[in-house]
Order: sequence, then structure tokens, then C-alpha cells
Amino acid sequence: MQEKLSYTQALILLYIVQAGLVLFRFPQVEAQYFGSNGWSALLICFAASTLNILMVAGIYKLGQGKSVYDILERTIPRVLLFPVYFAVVAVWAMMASLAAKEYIHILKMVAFPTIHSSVFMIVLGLLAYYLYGKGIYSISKAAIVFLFLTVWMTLLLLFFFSDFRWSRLTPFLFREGTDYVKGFFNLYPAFLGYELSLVLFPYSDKKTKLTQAAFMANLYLTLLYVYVSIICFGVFHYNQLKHKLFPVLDLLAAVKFPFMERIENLFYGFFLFANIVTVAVYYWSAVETGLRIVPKMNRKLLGFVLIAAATGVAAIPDTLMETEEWLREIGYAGFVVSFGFPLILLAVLPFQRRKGKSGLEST
Amino acid sequence: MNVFTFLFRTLRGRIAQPSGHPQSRTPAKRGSSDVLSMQHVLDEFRDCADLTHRSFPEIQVHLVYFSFLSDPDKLDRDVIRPLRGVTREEVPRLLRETQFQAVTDRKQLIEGILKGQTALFYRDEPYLVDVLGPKERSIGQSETETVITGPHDAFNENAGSNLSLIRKRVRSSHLKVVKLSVGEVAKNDVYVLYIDGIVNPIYVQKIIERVRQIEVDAITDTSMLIQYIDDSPLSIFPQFLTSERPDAIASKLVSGRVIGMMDGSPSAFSAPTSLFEFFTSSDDYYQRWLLGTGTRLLRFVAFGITVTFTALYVAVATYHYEMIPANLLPTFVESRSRVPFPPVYEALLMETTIELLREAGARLPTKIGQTIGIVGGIVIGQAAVQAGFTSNILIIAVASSAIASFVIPSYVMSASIRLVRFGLILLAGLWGNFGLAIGLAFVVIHLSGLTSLGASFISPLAPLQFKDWKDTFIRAPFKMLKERPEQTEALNPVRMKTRK
Repeated sequence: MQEKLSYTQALILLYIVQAGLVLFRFPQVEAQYFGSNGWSALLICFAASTLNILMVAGIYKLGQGKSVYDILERTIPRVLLFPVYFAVVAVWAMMASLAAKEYIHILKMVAFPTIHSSVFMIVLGLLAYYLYGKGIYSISKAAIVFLFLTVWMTLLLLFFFSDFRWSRLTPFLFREGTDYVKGFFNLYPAFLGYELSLVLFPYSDKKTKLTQAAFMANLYLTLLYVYVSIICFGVFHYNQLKHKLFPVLDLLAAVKFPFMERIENLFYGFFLFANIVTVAVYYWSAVETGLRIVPKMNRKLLGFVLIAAATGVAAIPDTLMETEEWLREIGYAGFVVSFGFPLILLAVLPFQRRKGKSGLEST
Repeated sequence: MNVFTFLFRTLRGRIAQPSGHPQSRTPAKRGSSDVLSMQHVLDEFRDCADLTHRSFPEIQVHLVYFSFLSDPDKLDRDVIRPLRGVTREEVPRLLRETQFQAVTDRKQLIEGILKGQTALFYRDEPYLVDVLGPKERSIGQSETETVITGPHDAFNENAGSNLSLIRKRVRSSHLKVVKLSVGEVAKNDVYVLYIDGIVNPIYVQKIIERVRQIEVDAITDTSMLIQYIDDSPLSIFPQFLTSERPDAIASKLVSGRVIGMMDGSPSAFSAPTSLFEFFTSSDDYYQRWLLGTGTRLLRFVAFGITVTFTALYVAVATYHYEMIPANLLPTFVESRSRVPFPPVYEALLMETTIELLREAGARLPTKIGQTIGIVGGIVIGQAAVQAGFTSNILIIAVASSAIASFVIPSYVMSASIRLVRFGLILLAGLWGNFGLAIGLAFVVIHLSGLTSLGASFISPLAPLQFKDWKDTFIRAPFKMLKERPEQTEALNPVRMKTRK
């Protein structure tokens, strides 16, 4: 029998998946697009993501926890669904590979400027494949261990309490902001990841309280982002933040111990733990969707093909700037999937219920 | 059947079975295929120079046994002397005594002789007498799992002694023992122990099934056996906890785990187990809780040191000099300046030397082993630094890692972790901190996929079971240890009634 995820497993898994994409650069986005106290924009994103999670909760309840693909295929012919599946597979797989690529580019910038990014991409791809191959239950277990290996790093920001000035936060809200809408769409990918809870339906039961776990993960993530952002806004002025590419990394670089300093590259290395879970879970979700297109294909083979293909495509953007541009574009697509996919499901479910066609109990 | 044949058979039956012989202890009627005659037994054991065949022609009794497996005193007292003191007519009466067990099955007879029992043939009717008494090691201290306080007795190679050590500690009729056999040729006895009413029967069933499925000529030790029944035999980490300490095994039993032991092996195994169980020692429970907690935490720190310290040195010395504070940098650079090798070669050289010393020390007698330690530790270490082969900071790193690895109570786990360290050193030499992170991620992913009898190997960390942390990462006061570990899925999870 398929082992079901526990509440904490689901919570930590979704939390790590969400935290893995743009943790190092989002304070800069806040400062650039929203200006003073730009961190408050996180609350707007939180509200939007919570709305999205409520949609997921509605699907879970109406669909009685059945697979979202089963729900769709009961009403819409599979052939018509193929383009949707293709789009979801492509978006999720590319989000995974570009997240890995961005990580590699920053790594190169921090420590290995001479090594070709393809070498690291292949290593990361293999590691992601190894994690993916363990299945979602083991991935969630690994996520818990990785959380404990990384969560203490947030405490390091307490080092900056002496440099923190409330006056740098200013009493103004969103002053000198540029484009709020664009800012929202650039910031929102930092919250993406909860939508993968849609794929976790068959791996959860009532005890999992999946949607509650997704909500709590989103809440904890927002608190983490707010904490990191406020420290960044209080240590750097928002005008300074606008010109910093990775303000969180700059902060970590200033942490000093009597026996060690410039620890940002060590901690950036450890950030691989969160990144690899994000990457593996996006790949895993893409494969789950891909299996609906080619149901007879071996799961591990499809995973390998997909990871290899996505890694190959991610090799196209050559520089960090290009990769970020791609990631921004795929972030928009991710936003569309995160709202569009649940909307389709919510449109289909009442139709099924009205027609008395759900027959969900019988399956 | 004609009349003569009937009379002959009746008469023969009367001679073979005198009146008054208890029916229950009389050999049953056998088919022609199940031959139990002494000659067949002697044929079975032909060319076995250690087999002894003694005859008492005056009373028509023959004894067949392996003298090296028998206790000569017991044999004399229970078999030889009584036989010498009876006449032919008195033999049937003698054979009614309890030590003579009638045998009806050829396989039972052969196995009995192989186990050290003496086969007695009276007019080709076989009996087995238990005179087993080979030389066995007396119950002594464990050399691999020493404790400062608490009991010092350890298992030996005799399953009977080992079972008695457990029974002495768990005096309950609920302690059940299932006897199995492994090895097509060697036929070694395996005992599966559990406490009925506490253990989850699924785990007992799994172990029994896995042991029964083994098809191999011989298994000579528990450490070999567990490799046949592991969930992931290719993994570097052991998925069954082995121990030589009866007190540790008894505590595993009452916590709802299944125990396995083998005749001929001084260690027992326990399952399901988790990675963190390998970091616990009986000493933790015999000391005050705060001391036990401190020691346990120290072991986890040691685990971190042994896995990462040398690799971190290699990463820093190869790629990340900026991580060294300015006031430490001159010492570091000066130490490294005379070494002609890249840090990864230097580290691997020293780590290999330490492993050589450890292996040599383990194989040699204690006194010579100590000398090896002095020669290796002082002479080679100091000479290597003076000759410029290695930096003294690396010596500190390697020595700390080695010492830390010996803090881990389980030798098997400690050895596995040391091997992991080599992989991390190589990755750190290749890609610095990123390589180290890749290596650690690989280990974590591997551990996440491991199970012990189907239960998570990294429980109670994942899946998160916070209430078990108080007897995993710390050793809380006994008053707080009221429940059995969740990993065991015990039928009766409560181990202590709540006191108000």
C-alpha cells in the first residue's frame, strides 16, 4: 500500500519547495519595485497565495482527495487534456532546471568562476534524479533532514542586530516604487511551490490535512521572508538594496566567527539542500503529469529523459542575467499554472457533481 | 498375509517392545524409506574420523557420537555408567528414563548427532541422549561495547548461554523464541526472540520469512546473517543493530523490537532500528540523565566532526582561503607552505595512514597494538610534518576525526561513517564547499531511502516524531520515558503507568 505523508512531512516538504527558488534575491526585487518598506508587498503575495491554496482546498474537498488527473479525465477527453498536460510538464520541468541553473550561476559567481556551468548542472541533475528516484515519501523525509541542516542559518541574521536601524525602514510605504504590478509578478515566484500540493492528493489522507499543511507552510515561509526582508531593509537602506544583486548573500558574507569568516560560500553550499528538494519535487510533479500522457512508460526512464531534456534546455541561457530573465518568464508561466490548473478543476468538479457523474466513491 | 508371517511379526514386535514400555516414547512404525538402523547412520557419517562408535555387545547396545561435541563427564554419568550397570533384560527399563529420547525420524537422528547428542541403538531402535558439552568460551566482558557502569557480562558463541542471559533479565512467559535454521550445509540455528503482546507481529513475520528465504551453504555469524536479510544489502550502512550486551538486547526486546541471535555468534541483532540508535549506549541509562544526555549529544558532535572536519580542511585549503580569519591565516599558510602536495592528496595520505594504524592495531595483540599506536601517532605524525609531507593543522584535523569516529559506540556504524568521510574528502578536493554539500546531500538522500524491516531508518527525525526525541538525541529522565518508540509500532505502546 502507498505510504501516506504525515502532516509535518507535507508541511516541511511544501515549505522547502517554496523556499528554494529565489530566497537570495527577493529583498532586491522588493526594494526595486516597491521602494521603501517594500517588504510589505510580501503580505500581498501571501494573500494571493492563500487564495490559491483555498482553491486547492476546495478541489480537495469537492474531489474527495482523488487525483486531480482522474478528476479532469472523467469529464474532459484525454486527447484534449494533452496540451494542458504538456504545458504543465514543460513549465514545472523548466522551473526545476532553471532554479538549478540559477543556483549554479550564483555558485560560480561566489566561488568557481572558471568551471563551466554544464559540469555543475550535470552533477545537480544526477543528484536531483537520485532524489527523485526515491519517491515522494523519501523525498519528504530528506526534506525534513535538509530543513534541520539549514534552518539554523536564519539565526545568523541576528548577528546584524547591532547594525540594524529602524530609521532605515522609514515611515513611508512604497515610496520610490516603480512598477507595482511587475514587482508583484517578479516577487510572486518566491511563493510558488504550494501548487504542487495538487499532485500530492493521492499521497495524502485525512490525517495529512494537506491543505492545512500547505497553508501553514505558506505562512511560515511568509514569516521567514518578512524576517529576512526587514533585516535587509534595516541593515541596508532600500536605495542601497536596489543596487545589490543578492543582498542576503552580502549579509552572510559579513558574518564573522573567531575561527571562520566569509562563510557565505559555505552556507551557499548548504543552500543546495533546499534547492535540490525544490528541483526534485518539481521534476517529480512534472513526471507525475507526464505519466498521464505516456502512462505505459517506465517512471524512472521518463524521469531521466525529462531531467536530461530540461537540463539541456536550461543550458541555453549562458549568463546569470539571461538565466534570471528566463526564470522570470517561467515564473509568469508558473503563476498561470498555479491559478489556471485549479481553475479548470474547479470548473469541472461542480459539473461532475451536477451530472451525478463523479462516482468518486466507487473508484 | 499368511499365518506364519503374522505370527513372526507379532513375535518380533513383542521382543522389540517389551511390555510396560511407554507407547509415547517408543519409536513409531517406520516405512522402508525411513531407515534408522545404525549401519545407515554409520554410512551417512563415513569418513568422519571424529565420529566415535562404541559397542556394548553383551547388552546389544551401540553408541554413536562426536566425542569433541560431547561432554565426557555427562556422557559417562548419563550413558556409559548406567549401561555398564544393567543386564540385557534391564536395558528396556533403563531406556524408559527421561534422558533417552526415542527417535522416529532419520533427519532428527542425524541432526541430533551433528548437534552433539549421542545416538544410542538398542536392537536398531535409536534413541538420542543430550550430552552436549563442547568447549565454549565462558561469559566474559564485551571488548567492542565496554561500559563504565552497569553489567559487564556479554554474549558468547553458545546460543543456549545467550538465551539464558536474556531469560535471566526478562523473566516473562511472554518472551517467545522461534527457532529457525539457515545454511543448506551448515544448518546453523537462528533464534528469533520477541515479547508477545508488545511487539508488532508484522516485524516478527518479516524476519522469519527473510531468514527462511535464505538459500546459502553456510552462515557463520550474525553480522553475516543480517546482510542476507537487510532491506538494502548494497547500502554502506547496517540496517540492523548488533550488540554483544545482553542488557542492551533485553532493553530492545521490551521496547518492542525483534531480536535475532545465532548459535556460534557472540552478537545478537535488533530490528527495526534507526541510524540514531547506533549512537546510544547502555551507559546513557546507567548514568544520571543529564550526564547521559551530554554524552549522547557529544556523540552527535563527534559524528559531525568525523564526517566533515578533514573534508572542510581540504575545501578551505584548496578553494576558500578567504574563510580563514586574518589572525589565523599566517599560521595556516606557514603550515601549508612546506607541503608540496595539494590538500586533497595530503589529507588522503594521512587518512589512509590512520586507517592502516587502526587496522594494524586491531589485528595485533594488545601490547603490540599499543606500540603501533605510539609508533604511528607520534613518530610517523611528527616525522611527516617535519619532513614537509603534511601540515600540522591537517594532523590535528585527521586525529580529531579519527578520535571522533571512535566515540560512536557501534563499531560497524563507525567503520561505515569513516568510509563516507573518504568520499567527502574527494568531493571537497574537487569542488570545495560545494563538493562537501553535494556529498552530504547524497548521504542524506541515501539515508532517507533506507528502511529497517520497512520502518524509516532515520526515525524519529523523519518522519518527525518529536516525542521520541527525548530518548534519541537526549536521554530524558526515566519519568518522561513513558512510551515505547513509535518506530516499533508496538501493540502496547505504554511502558510506564502514569503516576500522579
